[in-house]
Amino acid sequence: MDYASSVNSFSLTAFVGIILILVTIVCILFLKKGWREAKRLGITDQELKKIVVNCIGISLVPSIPIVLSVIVMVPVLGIGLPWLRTSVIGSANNELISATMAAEATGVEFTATTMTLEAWVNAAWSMTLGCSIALPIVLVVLKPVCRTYDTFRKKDSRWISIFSLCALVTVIAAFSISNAVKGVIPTTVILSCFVFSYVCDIAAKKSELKWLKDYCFPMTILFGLIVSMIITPVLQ
Amino acid sequence: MTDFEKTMHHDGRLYGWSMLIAICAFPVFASFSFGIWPDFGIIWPSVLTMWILMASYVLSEMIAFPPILGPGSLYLTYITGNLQNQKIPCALSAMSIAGIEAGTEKANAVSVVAVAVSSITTTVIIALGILLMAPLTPVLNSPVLAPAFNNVVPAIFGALAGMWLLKELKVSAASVIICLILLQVLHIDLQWVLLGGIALTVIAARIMYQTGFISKN
Repeated sequence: MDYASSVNSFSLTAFVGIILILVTIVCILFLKKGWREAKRLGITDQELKKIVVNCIGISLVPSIPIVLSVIVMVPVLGIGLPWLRTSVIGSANNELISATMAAEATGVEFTATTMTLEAWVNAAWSMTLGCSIALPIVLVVLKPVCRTYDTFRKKDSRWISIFSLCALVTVIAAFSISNAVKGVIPTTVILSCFVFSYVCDIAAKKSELKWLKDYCFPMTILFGLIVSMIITPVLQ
Repeated sequence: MTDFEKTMHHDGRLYGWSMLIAICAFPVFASFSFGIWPDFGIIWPSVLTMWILMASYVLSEMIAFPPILGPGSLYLTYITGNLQNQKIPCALSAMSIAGIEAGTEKANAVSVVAVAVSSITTTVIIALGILLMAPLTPVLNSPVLAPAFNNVVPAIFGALAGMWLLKELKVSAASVIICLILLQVLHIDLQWVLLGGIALTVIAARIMYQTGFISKN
């Protein structure tokens, strides 16, 4: 069997399919428990359905670059490996770096025509061992971290809510600035989305535009993408 | 810790370890099928590089995200990935729709719903992308759409900034200034900026809180 047939074999693809079905079952189990708890705390079915529609909308656009990265990897690594690695845990960039490093360390170039089964096996192990490290760290560390936060929450709940806000705004500020410094196009996109989101937020306070609150976030992302498509040919 | 949080820790760790074993089983299965095993002498530098690269991020994220999202959604996020560009935006948007403050019991519950829905959506989209790879490739690689796909993350964070930075303006201003200094003046890597930025913003907020510059109610 040649390289392409081996890495695209039915058994490998079916194995990945089974893992992804298991992951989806886990997601459904979490979804059911989260839904039940949210309802117990007084959130209505209607609000939860809005959240579901909104989250599907928000997840659609960022999924497309992931699909693109799978399309880039498939000719070199076959269907199964990129499908698995981009559907669970992995970020496409890290997976590509890891696969390329392993292939080149094996002595072959990371291209569809030069890859060998030895290089593929090394890449698959390297991606799995290297890029899955976040999950075991979280499985060990998260509970004690949450317990520590809980202790502080009991002492002063207002302060912990400010602490949460500090973490949140710092994450947003750090990622926004690190993206903005990449050039004038991302900066313009960030600023235009910031303004659009703020305007939406103000508009949604009017009773006749209350519906806007539910669609503000996906609409802002869409607006930012349209802005990027308009300004890129002008600014580049 | 609430009963829900206890359940999430139990289930999250149980399913997390199970999924990790399942994911690691793939290269084992492939090696058995091909009769070829990896040369660890060759791959250790790439494995170590990824560990160093990712561990610093994860440790920063473990400080930053538990008070915002709660445990359930975080376990699920680390099983399915794409924290920054999908899971965080979905969870924050869900909180905004339900009018909930980050870090509360309700926020933990809706975050789990949001992250689960986002994970299922992404899994379905990637599967569809693979099924429809041949007809989709020219459309997705179109030069007209390329700028949009290159700017998804800036658009997401611009939108999040508009939603959250104006809620407690004094804290946000301090945070933006701190991040600007760390990133642009001191040229510190992003993962350390997250860690240091949160610590410095918390110190600044604590001073504002104790001096009454931020309301205590």
